[in-house]
Amino acid sequence: MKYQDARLRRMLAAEYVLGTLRGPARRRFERLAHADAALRAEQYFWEARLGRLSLAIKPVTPAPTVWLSLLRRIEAGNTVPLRVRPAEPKPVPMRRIWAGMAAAAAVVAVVMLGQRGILPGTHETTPVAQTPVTPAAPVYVALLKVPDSTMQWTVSLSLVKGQMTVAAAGDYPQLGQHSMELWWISPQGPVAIGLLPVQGNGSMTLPKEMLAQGGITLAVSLEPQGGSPTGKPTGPVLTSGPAVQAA
Amino acid sequence: MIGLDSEPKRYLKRDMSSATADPERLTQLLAAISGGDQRAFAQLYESCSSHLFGLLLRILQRRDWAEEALQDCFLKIWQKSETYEPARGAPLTWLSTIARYRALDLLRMKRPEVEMPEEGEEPPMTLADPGQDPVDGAIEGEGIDKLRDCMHGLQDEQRRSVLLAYYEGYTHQELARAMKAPLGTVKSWVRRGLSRLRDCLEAVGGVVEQE
Repeated sequence: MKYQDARLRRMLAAEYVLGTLRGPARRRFERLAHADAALRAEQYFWEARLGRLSLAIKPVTPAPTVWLSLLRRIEAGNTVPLRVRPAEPKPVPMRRIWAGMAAAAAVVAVVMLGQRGILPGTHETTPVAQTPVTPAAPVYVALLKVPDSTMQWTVSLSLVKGQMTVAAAGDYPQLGQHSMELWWISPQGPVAIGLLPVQGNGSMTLPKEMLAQGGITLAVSLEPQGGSPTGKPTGPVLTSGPAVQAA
Repeated sequence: MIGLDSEPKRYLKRDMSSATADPERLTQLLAAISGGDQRAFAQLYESCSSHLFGLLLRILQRRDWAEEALQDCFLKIWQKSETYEPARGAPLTWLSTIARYRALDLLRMKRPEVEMPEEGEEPPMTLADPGQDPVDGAIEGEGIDKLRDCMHGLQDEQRRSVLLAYYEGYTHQELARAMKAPLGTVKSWVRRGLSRLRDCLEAVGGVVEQE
């Protein structure tokens, strides 16, 4: 039995980690290592060392769509179930998933906006001169940029007025016979807001149920001309991000 | 809003140097994820996804496959982050290992569709700069002197076959083709290379350096 030969075992572990051990032999190694601590130690030896070669590779930022699809896969749950946790036997509510997405999107926004003055919370410490504070009519702004293109929108929305204005800039040559649709990511999932202009300015009416609770996350998807036929995003999500309170 | 109550500056800093993400912080995030913390999951993605995506693109050569593999990889992290052990390397090293294994499995399923480079055509050997040894690119500020030194102790063919297998995900057959050498010869380059590398790495100390 060749797996009893120490030198061969070492070599198999090394080739497993390097990747030249393929096919049935690879699966066989995994089964054996699972039950054999010494073989596993040999595998870990190589993982800890050869793995450092990966640090030489230039990082490439994945499109925001990848993160959104990942969340959908977690949320779908049936094909890849969420881990059952003793403290929390039920699947995690979708709201929390979207909140997590908002957190990641917020990080992007911080980087993109590059100024902290308009972050939520900070405006409260800014002295307000004569005008009485009107917390009932806040304005939210978002900058939505499509990666790998110059296309971007600046949106400004007032929930009290139920209105949103949008200014488009740049270009999205791949658009073809498609439309770009804006969505509000509600705790229950995406809610259509409307089709985004490719150039110039426009205004849209906001969905009545739209709330700012827990932050506002917007997303843009590529849809058939005229918008999604189903009322839910059907095409790839081009970009997403939070709308932050600006006034 | 969630995600903005901790210092944005740290996010910015981390964003600019994701490859050197603080191992202690990543270890904490992994621990939090194993407890079901979605916010930690989002932060780990933010910190590591570009590094892993670069690695996956490198091996898979196709954006759609790399995106699929990246998702698979993070799904696995979400479900099994508690399987992380420091013995498997620093957190980012371990995440790279997971990503690479996933890429190798995908290649096995999908590579038949990919045409191999024609005979006489040089395979993509290096990183940003063609003609440069990938290991040289790895040394800058990354503290992998031991690995580099040991790599340089190998014969050229041994080193080249090990690096091609690592960075391109080549099988023995693909290595033979890329290096224009008989299969048996290539197998022995890989094995002798690894064997020598192991002796060298052990000789210079069994403790893994901190990233």
